[in-house]
Amino acid sequence: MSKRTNRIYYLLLVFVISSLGVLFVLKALEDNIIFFYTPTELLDPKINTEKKIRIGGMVKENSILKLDNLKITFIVTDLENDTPVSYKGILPDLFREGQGVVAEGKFANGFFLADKIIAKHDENYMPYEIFEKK
Amino acid sequence: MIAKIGQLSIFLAFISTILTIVLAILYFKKRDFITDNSVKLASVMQFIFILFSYFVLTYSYVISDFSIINVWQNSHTAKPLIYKITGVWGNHEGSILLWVLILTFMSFLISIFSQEMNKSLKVRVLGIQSLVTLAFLLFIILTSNPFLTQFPIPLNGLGLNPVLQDPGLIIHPPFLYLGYVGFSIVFSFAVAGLLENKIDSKWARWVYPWTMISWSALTIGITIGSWWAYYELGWGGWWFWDPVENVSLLPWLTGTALVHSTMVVRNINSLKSWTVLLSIMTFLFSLLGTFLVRSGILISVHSFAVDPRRGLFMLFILSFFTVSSLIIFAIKSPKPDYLIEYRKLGREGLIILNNLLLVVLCSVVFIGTLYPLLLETISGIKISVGPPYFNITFLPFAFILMFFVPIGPVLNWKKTDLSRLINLILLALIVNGVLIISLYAFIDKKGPILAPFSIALGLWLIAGSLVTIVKRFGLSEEGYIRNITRVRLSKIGSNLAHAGLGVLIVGVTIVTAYETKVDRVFELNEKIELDNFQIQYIGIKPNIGKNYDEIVANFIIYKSEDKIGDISSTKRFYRSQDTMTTEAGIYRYFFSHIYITLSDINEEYVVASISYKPFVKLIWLGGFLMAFGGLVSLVDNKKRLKS
Repeated sequence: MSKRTNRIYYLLLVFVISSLGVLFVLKALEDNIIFFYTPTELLDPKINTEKKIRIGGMVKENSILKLDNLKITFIVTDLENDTPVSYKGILPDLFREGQGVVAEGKFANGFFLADKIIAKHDENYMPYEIFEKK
Repeated sequence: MIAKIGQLSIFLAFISTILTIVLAILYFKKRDFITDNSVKLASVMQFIFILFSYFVLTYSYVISDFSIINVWQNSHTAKPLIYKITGVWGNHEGSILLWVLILTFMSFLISIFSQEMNKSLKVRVLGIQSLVTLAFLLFIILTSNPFLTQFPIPLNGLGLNPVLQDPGLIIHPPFLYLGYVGFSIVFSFAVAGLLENKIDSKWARWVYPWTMISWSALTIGITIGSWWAYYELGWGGWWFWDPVENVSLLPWLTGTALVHSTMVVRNINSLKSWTVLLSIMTFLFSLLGTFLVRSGILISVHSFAVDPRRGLFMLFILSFFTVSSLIIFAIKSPKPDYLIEYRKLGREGLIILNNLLLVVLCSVVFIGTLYPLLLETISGIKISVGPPYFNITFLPFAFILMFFVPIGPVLNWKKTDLSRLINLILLALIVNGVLIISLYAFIDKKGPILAPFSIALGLWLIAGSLVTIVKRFGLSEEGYIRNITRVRLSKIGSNLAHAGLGVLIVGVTIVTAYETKVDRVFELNEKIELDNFQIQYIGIKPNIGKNYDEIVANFIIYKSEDKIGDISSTKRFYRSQDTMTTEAGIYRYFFSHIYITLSDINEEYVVASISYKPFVKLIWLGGFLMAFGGLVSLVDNKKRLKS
């Protein structure tokens, strides 16, 4: 076995594994991207609201409504436009009126049905768009 | 006053660092005047001054000196002492000071120990390490000075974020940083070795212990982080594929590859340029992680407040070391060695496969984590890449890797005939096949169809590694029991680490596939079925802590109508910050947990979420076993250095 053929085998192995990797990655990225919007950006009719998305903003003052059986509705605002959100489940402790929030879910009948509410480590955290407007 | 002393000490460390670099350069110009001892002395001074300033800052926290802005912003007189001490690294300025403390500690260790090391290599290592230290000291002085003062002095501090007042804060950051920063010395060794044109098995023997210690520390750091995020409500559980979690995985993956490839250099003096590149990349990933986390540009659960100036400076440090080290690598890297022949694929062959797969895993995580940042910079579109992406791309390659892990250590270096390798692969296929079939027969719960495959691979890892260990202790070829003292601990260590990976995989798979959960309202004394357990809410009790008030909700756990234990979950209200936290209640049943968190709470009912997490404990046990194995493998390294 000459050195050259040896080298070719190695390069082939590297090539096959890495192109497999790239293929997987591209396919998976395509299917699993979650877009992030603020309430103002959501007004754009081009946005595909069928897919799972994340919305972010502030929880509007006096907008939290607790319904039965762990259900809750509240309004996410970017100080210009609002999006009503409904959620069923346990809320993180840093979820409060007037604080930043990110919700993940889909739209149904004008409501954003969140299946995940994401909190932050830092109680002073605020989505960047809101920070700019303040 | 005390702030001035701390500041002065940082400044003196800065001078010592410049002095170290100047002396190191002079050492190579005028060898007659400058000895390596002066370089070592200057390095030791760096460490002493930084250590002193670190003590000063800690002392200011302990005595609550609110004339220092950093103390005022992050502490409070009513805060428990342990969180005053560890709160030093609970904020940006303090954590960067800890980072520099570990950087100089590494220089200190190199100066004091490693007496037998080649002098000029040692001077170069110290010089390069000091360059890294210099960059971070400038960062502290220009953007993140922990000793800035204010007047008038406030009566009390703003307090530490309550979520951080947790045992996790005491141990998670130091280990994580020890791992991140430990790789800095590996980086310095790599660049120094390139400059010396001495990347060989001797170089690998010197660098191996540092690689292993850093890797073990990083493993412990990530494991504890995972445990902390698991019981802190809202942090996404033990692993969330969150960007901040992912960036800690990047240096871990390349570090794991590095630990293996360094052995190839050490034992058969091959794979040299690749190993140097891995050493450099691992530290660059550590820097990247620090940059991304500290600049706040990642959209993450674990993100901290933002200051753009810091991000820019950190980006500058990252670019400087990336560009300069890669240029040095391009010019000086040792000629590629094609000594390995594929026909005789020995242990090194499987290590190459291991490295290839780990690099693919690393790229997959890298792309998934940084693609959103890239897209946002280019087009302004905000996206996030969630767990499904990582599960699809990461797991298949991880499975291939795990299949081969137990085979590697039983092969010999350089000479394995192909038929032995094929036999071992057949054995692996048979063992896995039998395991998968019996798991399908044995598990009566509904879960993902592929779960038994993953569990089988984990068990294969554990069994394969244990068999190898037993063989080492067991009968020798001549038929008598081997003298215990002749067993090579490094072999035991590596197999323990592999078994740890198996334990981790089993835990991860079982809890992901077979967890059960109920979110609902619990009336007082109502019993609820969960898996094979019954859980009953029996009321609340108020309680007063040092800097918080809390309400404790109590539950009783039954198994087939017998009481087996009780468990409580707590809502805490921190007075000085006006903030609420939830302490999850965890009932330990062998390796499994019953996990309770609260939402609304009052006398008649609670709103709670209760999950049964089977074998979840194996995740962290596996992580610790891996780190432990890594450390065990170092025990007999010293002997080898001398031979």
